[in-house]
Amino acid sequence: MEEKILQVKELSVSFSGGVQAVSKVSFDLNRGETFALVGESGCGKSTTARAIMRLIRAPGRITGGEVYFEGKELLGLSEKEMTAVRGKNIGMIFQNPLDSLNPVYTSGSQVAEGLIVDKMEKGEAWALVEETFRDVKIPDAEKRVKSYPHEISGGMRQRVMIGMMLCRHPKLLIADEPTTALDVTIQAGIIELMNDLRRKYDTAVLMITHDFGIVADMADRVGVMYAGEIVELGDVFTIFDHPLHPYTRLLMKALPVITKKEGRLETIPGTVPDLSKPIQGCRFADRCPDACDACRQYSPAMVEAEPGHLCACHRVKGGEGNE
Amino acid sequence: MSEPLLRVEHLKKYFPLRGGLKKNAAFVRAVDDVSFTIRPGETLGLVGESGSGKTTLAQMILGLLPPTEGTITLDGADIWDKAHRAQFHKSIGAVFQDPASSLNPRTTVYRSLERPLELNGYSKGDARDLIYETAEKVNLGRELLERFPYELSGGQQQRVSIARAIMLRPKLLVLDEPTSALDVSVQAQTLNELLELQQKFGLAYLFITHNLSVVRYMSDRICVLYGGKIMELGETEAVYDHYVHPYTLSLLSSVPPLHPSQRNRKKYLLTGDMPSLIGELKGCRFASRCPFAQDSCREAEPECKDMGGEHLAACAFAGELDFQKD
Repeated sequence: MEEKILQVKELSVSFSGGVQAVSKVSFDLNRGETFALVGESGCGKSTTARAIMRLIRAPGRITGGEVYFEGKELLGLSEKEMTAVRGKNIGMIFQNPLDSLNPVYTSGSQVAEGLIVDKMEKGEAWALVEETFRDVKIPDAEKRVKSYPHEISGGMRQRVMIGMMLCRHPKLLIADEPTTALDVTIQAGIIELMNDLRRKYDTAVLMITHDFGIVADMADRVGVMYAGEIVELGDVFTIFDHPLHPYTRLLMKALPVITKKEGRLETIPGTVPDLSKPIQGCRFADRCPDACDACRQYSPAMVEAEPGHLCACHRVKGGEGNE
Repeated sequence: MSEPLLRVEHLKKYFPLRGGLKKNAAFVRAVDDVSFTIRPGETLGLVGESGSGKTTLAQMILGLLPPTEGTITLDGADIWDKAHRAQFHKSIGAVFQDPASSLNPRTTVYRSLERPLELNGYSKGDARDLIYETAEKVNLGRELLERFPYELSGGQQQRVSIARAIMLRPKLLVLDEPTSALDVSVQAQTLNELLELQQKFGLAYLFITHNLSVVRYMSDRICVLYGGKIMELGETEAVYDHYVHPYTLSLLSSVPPLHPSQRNRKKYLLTGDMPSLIGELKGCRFASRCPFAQDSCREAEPECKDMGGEHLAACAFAGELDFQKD
């Protein structure tokens, strides 16, 4: 089933002072697929996710591009039409569930709210909320629906958020660093839950993360972002086994997977370029060990190095790696 | 084997919950009977989930929090001994998680570095020499010293914190989640620099983190904490490859895989929450979530067993459980 559910075409977002946070980002999501956008802080991954949901606040602004959800363009919709898409068709969960939940309402009533908006009868909605709580493996579901957000743990709150999104059966779930604030043992449970539920409901997931471990655990395909651009995109196995872009390769080697007796981690020299100034050439050129003159002059285009594996690097031409 | 630099013995910290000093006051047993040592030049990694007592332990070792019971000795002297207090402060340094909040936003970096030297009787000139020398060692450009913290990147701010911590040549550095606010590429840089400094100065590190890959990279020995107690303690290889405690098993199996092919690995996921640490506690702290727990585990607290080679585990069935490692 290779049907595209989301198409993002040359999406650009700017903030005040001319900061180009996202520049011409393009990618597709197939039905039921998990796509991970991975990158370091400031690379524009969260901004991309928010732009798809049209949650960019002034002075931020979407300056160009198109976003198609099931063939319908989202950026041109009125705010009212967009509200109908949010939550119903596209769900979103954020890093800190305590910020996403209202402290003065019980967790169950906040989950029920969306269902009641969908014109579901109240009693029916509450029954579904309880069932949803069981679905996201919250123990004592019948009691927990009446708990306030402060009465439950961080992991449980994130489960409430996942339940709140999934009970309306959206076709796409955007998850922005959903486990970053949680302990590793809790994180493992949430990842397992998300993997189970997306199979059960055939929901596509756009996963925003900085953690390659989570990418390895969840994603079907991956887009690696650097300084507002996607620099490499491909199947998860391809990205892990033979990354082509120098940034992806260096980032993989910076992951602490060894002991100090076995050697030292690779580091990436320099810092991310200032996005408020126009950049000539490749954005990674200043830090790239393989940069040549062309890299500093012309911005590289995304090329399909092999079927389904795209990379924006002058040194990569139609499949020959630069290792 | 050399004499330990730091010796922590039967350390306890009970926070009163209500009733204050009254007899029947309830307590949170944040740290409960913890003992370990750190040798000169060694890194001891301290891992555990939030609420396991890592930071409380660090604060006691730094002398910021008086223990309820137990002793901490650095270089043979009790850290609460007034006669050695000044020396103690020079022998120990600290680096915290959020570099921005550990630097004064209203003074320049230079001033932040100068202040501790001033307090220790350095003249302006000597202080300047030492600051320049230290800045060079942590790869902090001299031009950055006149800036304010907000003008620096997170990695640079953390280097300032490290510079300040090592300036007075401490013997022990307490690093409390020093890289968890940093990006992967900056983290790699910071970790490598810390290893270099350790080799150069023979520093000992107490490295506290919840990141199990980082702690494996940095540590000689690892201490696994749960509910205020040590679950397992041993050489890094022993704890990572030959662990015997079921909590270590669950913790390690929660770590996301290194490669998508390991997606369907056997996982031992924990259910439920960490038990409340309030009041009288019976049995093993981990029993309520342990997949191998027997009735006896809930009754009697397990003793710390030596599995050989100073590999300790607080589990009644340590070495007898079949973890089906794959």
